[in-house]
Amino acid sequence: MSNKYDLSEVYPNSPLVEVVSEIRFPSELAIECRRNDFFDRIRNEYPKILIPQSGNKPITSLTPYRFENESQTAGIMMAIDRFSFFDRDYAGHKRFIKEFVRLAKILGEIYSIKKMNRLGWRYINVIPFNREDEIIPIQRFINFGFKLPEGISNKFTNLSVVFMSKVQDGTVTTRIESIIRSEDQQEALLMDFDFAMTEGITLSRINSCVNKAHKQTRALFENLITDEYRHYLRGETI
Amino acid sequence: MTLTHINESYELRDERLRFMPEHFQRGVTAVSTASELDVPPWSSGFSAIRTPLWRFSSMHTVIISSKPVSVRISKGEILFFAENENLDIYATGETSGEAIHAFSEHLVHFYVHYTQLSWDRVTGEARRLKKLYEDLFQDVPA
Repeated sequence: MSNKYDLSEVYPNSPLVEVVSEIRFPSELAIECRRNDFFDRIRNEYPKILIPQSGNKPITSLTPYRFENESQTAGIMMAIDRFSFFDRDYAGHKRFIKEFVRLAKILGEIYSIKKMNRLGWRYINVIPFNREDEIIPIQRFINFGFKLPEGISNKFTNLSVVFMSKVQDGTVTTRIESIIRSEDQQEALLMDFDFAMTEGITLSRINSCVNKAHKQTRALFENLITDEYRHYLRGETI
Repeated sequence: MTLTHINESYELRDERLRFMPEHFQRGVTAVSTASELDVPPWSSGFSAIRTPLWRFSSMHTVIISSKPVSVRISKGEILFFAENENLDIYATGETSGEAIHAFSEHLVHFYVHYTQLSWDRVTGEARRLKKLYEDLFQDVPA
């Protein structure tokens, strides 16, 4: 599989709508008390402050504040036990990881975060599709199926699957689901990968940990998609 | 399958996912990365999208392409548009599904038209399209 793609390759027709990386750690109250210290260090790039709204749920110290860039395409979420960076205009893993590591180091310089519980890397993909003979043409896009007994059709007209699996260095939660957009009834396949590692994560090793998480998640995506869909992603289309 | 049937299938699926036998729960609460971002931005606001298609059918003919045909779907004030500039096909419909269906029928029509034309009767843009249809499309049993 590794020769089918280059880790640095950014597809012109990429289905990614969001990439997120997150670290979790034991609760550190100083994050809430001195939130301004962090904001002062990143306010030039992420000046927009999004304060958690209550909705139906109570706001707690575990509800993250958000700091977003002017165009609201990237930002940071921060609560007393977690810190994440998200990008909706993903231009490749090198730029993303560089920024995540820079921000995580600022976090480590301001607050006393001695231990980390979890590092997550999440790829959220949305693949618009049109049905073929009323069926979701899932086999065009992904190498995925169930071994179904005779009499049970694999011609899916609707689909929702979530599974969690052990993989090298961690676990991955995969969600594959057909979705429909309310405005125009355009359907799409949601492919959401959430890779998590919980061992051996430290701020000093954050760069290698997050690179490992990215590599694993990218491999999952590439293993799952079909060659014909990869052609489309590369812009090899009519 | 009409749009109503498709929407009903989503409602039915959601209902089944909500169902849980009494005294049971879905299982352990898993930690998710940035769970607050669960709603993808794609789901709000209309924008034109591109989608790949490989199979095109009309009443009696089905053709497939060896490369994905990138179709741009957009919405005007009333109608939906499905278009591909390279193939010079522009189709409309009252729903995106109808626009795609019309696009598919146009493509089949032009495939039959260009593959039946002899080479000595085509020049310029028609020659380019004939080569494209002959090289990248083929009809298959319906």
